[in-house]
Parts: sequence; C-alpha cells; structure tokens
Amino acid sequence: MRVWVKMKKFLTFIFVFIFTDLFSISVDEILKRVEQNLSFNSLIMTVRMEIFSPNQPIRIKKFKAWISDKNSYVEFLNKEDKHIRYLKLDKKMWIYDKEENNTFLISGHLLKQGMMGSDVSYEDILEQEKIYEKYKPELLKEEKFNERDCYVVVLTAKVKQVSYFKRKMWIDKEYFVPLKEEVYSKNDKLLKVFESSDIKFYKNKAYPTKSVISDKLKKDTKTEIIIEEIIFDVEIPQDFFSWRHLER
Amino acid sequence: MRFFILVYLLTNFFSNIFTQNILDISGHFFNSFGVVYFDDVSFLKDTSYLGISTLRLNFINEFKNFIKIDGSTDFSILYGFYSELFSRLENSTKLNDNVFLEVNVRKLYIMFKYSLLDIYLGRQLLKFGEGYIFSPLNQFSKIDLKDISFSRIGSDSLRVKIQFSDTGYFEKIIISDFKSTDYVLKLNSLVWNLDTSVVSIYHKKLNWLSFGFSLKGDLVLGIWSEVLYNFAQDISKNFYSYLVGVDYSFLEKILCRIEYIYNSYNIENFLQEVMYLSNYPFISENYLATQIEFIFDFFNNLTLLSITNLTNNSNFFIFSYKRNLLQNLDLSFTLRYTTKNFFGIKDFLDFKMLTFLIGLNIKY
Repeated sequence: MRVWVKMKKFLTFIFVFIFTDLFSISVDEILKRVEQNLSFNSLIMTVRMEIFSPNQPIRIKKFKAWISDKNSYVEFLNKEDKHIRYLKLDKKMWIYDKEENNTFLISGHLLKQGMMGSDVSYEDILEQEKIYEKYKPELLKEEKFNERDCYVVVLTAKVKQVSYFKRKMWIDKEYFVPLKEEVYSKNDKLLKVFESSDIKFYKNKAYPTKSVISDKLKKDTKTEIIIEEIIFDVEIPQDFFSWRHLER
Repeated sequence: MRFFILVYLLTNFFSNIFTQNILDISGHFFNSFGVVYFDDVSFLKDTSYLGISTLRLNFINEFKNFIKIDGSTDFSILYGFYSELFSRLENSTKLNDNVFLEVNVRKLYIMFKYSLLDIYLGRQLLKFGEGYIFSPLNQFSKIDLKDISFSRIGSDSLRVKIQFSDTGYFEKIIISDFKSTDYVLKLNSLVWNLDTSVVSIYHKKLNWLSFGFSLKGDLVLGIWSEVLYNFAQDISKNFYSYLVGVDYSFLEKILCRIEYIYNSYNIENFLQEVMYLSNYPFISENYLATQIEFIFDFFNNLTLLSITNLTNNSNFFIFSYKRNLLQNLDLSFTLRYTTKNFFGIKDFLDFKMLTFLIGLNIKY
C-alpha cells in the first residue's frame, strides 16, 4: 500500500511536470507575442491627453499622429497648441512652432522632459519596437491585475543605451498586451508607472486605447492618454515624414 | 469687360477657397501693464507707467493641399512710456494723449505647392540660424521688443523652396521693402546628425556679400554655432561674426543655456550698416547670455536671463515668472533691468532703466 502511495505521488509529479512544461510559455515567446500584437506597418490616431495635477483643473491636449516604421509626425489640435508640430525621424526629434516659423532640434538631454508638460517624456515616445532586445528578460510569476490573468515579466538592461534600467510588466495572458509597467532606475527607484486598459480589437490585434502614466518623481500627478480614433496599416505618403511637411 | 472677367475669376477663386475649406482663426489677447524707473535722466521723469494691449489675429486657409494663405496681425494699443518710444513708427496712429494704436502685419503670404517645389509670396517670417538670443544669420525677421516673448515680424519676400531629401531643402529668397532688395541662397540639411544650413546673402543697398553657416547637434550638451563673414566693396569694412551656444538640463526641471557672440567690427565705424543689418539690439562687439529656466511643473515656470556686454561690462537682466491659471490663460510677472550703455552706441538709450510688468495672456 505504501509503495502504491509513493508510486502515485511520483506519477502525479511526472504528470504535472510534463503537462505544465507542455502548456507553459517561455518568456521570450511572451515578449515575441507582445511585439507581434503591438507591431504595425503604419497607423494614424487621434489622441486626447488629460494632465492631472493636485488642486488644479485638468488640462486637456489633443493631437493627431501619423506613425510609420521608425518615423512619426504629430500635429496638436487643441486651440492653445495648434501651432505646435513634432517630427520624429528614427532617433531625432524636431519641434516646429508655426506661429514663429521656428524649427528646433530637441537635444538629447531634453528628451527626459515631459512632452507638453505631461508625465510622458519625449523618450517614452521615441522608444519603439524591439526595445526588448536591449533587455534580459525573466518570467517572475503569474498573478491577476485588474481581474485579468497576467504574466509578470522583469526586464533588466543589457546595454547602457536604454531609457530605464529595469522594467516590470504585467502582460495579459490572453491578449498579450502589457496592462501595467513599472520602470526603475539603476538604484531600483520607481520612476514611472504605466497602466493600460480599454482593450479594443483591430483585425487580429488587441490594442489598449487608454493609458495612465504617473511620474513617481512628481507629487500626485498623472496623465491619461485616450486614443479616440485609430486606423492601422494605412498608406502614409513618405513626404509626411520630412522637414518640408513639418514646416509647410 | 476684362475687369468683370477678372472680378468673376477672383470671386470664383476665393469663394472656392473659403467654401471648401474652413478658415482657421486663432491668436491671443495679451494685456500687460507696469512701471518703469529711470536713473538720472534729464529728459525723462524718474517714474513712468507703461502698458500694451495686443490682439493677435492669426488665420490660415489651405486649399486642397496645394495653396495656402497664412496671416498674422497684431493690433496693439500702447500706453505711457511705450507710446513715447514707439509712436514715431509708420504703422502707429495717435488715439489720445499718450495712447497710440499700432497695427503690425507680422505675416501675410500665399504659398503654392507643386511637386518638390514650394513658392511663398508675401510677408513671411524668415528664420535663419540656430541662436536663441543672438543670431548673426537671422537678419530678416525683426524681433518685436515690446513683446515679452520676443516674437518676430516678417519681411516682404518671394521664397522658392526645393526639397531634395526628407531632411534637406534648398531656398532662394528675394527680400524687398521697395527701397532696397536683398538676395539669399540657403541650403538646409541633416549632415552627420547635425542640423546644418549654409547661407549666402547679397545686400544690394550696401553692396555687401555675406557667407555663413549654422550647425546644431548633441555632444552630451546641446550645442549650436553660427558663423558669418561679410565682404564689403571697401575692404576695410569686411568683418565676421560668430556665435556659440550650449544648453543642458538637470533633474528634468532646470534648463541652463549659454550663448556667446563676437562681432569683429568697431561699432562706431559701422553704425549705419549695422543698424541696417541688425534686427536686435545686440550690436556691440561681444556679448554673453546666460539663461536658467526652472520648470517647476506644468503650471509654474521661472526664467532668469542675464546678457552682458563684455566690451563695456554693461548688463541686461530679465526675471520672468509665468503661471498657467486656466487651459488658455497665463499670468506673468516680468522684471527687466538695463544698466548704462548696454547697446554700446553713444547716446542711444544710454541710461539705467528698471521695468516691472504684469501680463495676462488669453489664447483663443
């Protein structure tokens, strides 16, 4: 009888070991699925940015962005900032002030500053696909976030040229969308928290249409980014991403 | 008959423009009021008040992406000391004792776009160079000294712009105020990750030929430079100017900027020419500008600017605090202090002056 009990325990262990291994997913596969889900050839979106600060009414900014490959072009739509345009070509970014006909290259040291006073830095915007290649990934655990089953993945920088040394991500197990991301400095100080929600489906892709970003170095501030309209894989003329179009 | 055909065609053209596209109107209403103190000036009272109320009207209309009409006009009412300073300008009208109306058409041009070619005709803001405070290359858009944000006033010109890459274009510009004409050739491109422009200017009235270039890039610090060499018919009047600027930001809140400019001429021998060329008052031999900007948060911003005329050790200081009260409403406090002989020109604003201004800016 005792032998049978031991045997049963052993078989259960083998069964669990084999089947968990069969159905489990590697951390590289998780990140690959995230990248596949969030990647696109081009997109056009209209975004509403709400900036929250303690004891202040909300400041609202609205912009339209055209994004293709590593390039993007942004035009602000709200009255106060309508004269401002951004052009990003690979890793360089320019601001154009239409009212003064003035184009400025945004210097590297300014990229950490909040875009238009928000909690989103220029660096956050410049950072695009394949950022995971610069990090060493580790699957920490699985847990629920906002009642969704998530993989918790920690990424630690392999190279110096990254915006954040460490990232902790809660990735939705079903849709492969990061629902939460905490970013840390080298001395493990929490810098920012990104939270995504309101997932919508476009063709085979799941895309969060609302993000809340809070800069933990600022006191009680947050920025909500709501995608009001989004179109994937539309043809954007190449001359959209040029100085001529920026200064037109 | 021909007149009626012309009127019909023009009416048809403009009605098409204005019915098929929405005319986009924007701008701001800026109201600023304050006091100015003079130190030991025989022809001025020790204390005067000054004020300016400006309605800026911007409009833009794009027609099927190949024609654009763009305009911006400032309607300003000047009070007190401002009216004394600027009342002699051609575009100002006396409304009352010490109250003048000034109308400044900053830009009004039509742009035609065809293939890789853009043609701009009319008054437009021509920005050359990379300097923030000084700019030897930026000779054609005057700084509006009444405006605390130092906005610019355009020049009447014809500009032809030809794109040759995503980050490169060539421009030919003819600038004319009907008394004199200047010609410019300009090449803008991104070279080795540096924003680069090469400029040549011919000032017909002075019979001067100028060549220059500007660069801007990153070397941990943001760094930019401008160089300009002027060839005159009289060789003794040749001179050069250069500018070097750096900036760096700390803690995502503090931005430091330094600019240095050197002009190789002696101002007393070049007064007439330099006054013709320059669009800002920094025409002495060399200046150093230091600016520190504190961006406390989205709502509060403090700027300290010091400009030193290194030739005679005179100074110009600006302390400016801006608070965003509402989405489209800003409140500002500005303190300016000028020491004696800052401009380096004998008898030109050669006195100490302290100005305090409170401003309210409503964007619409």
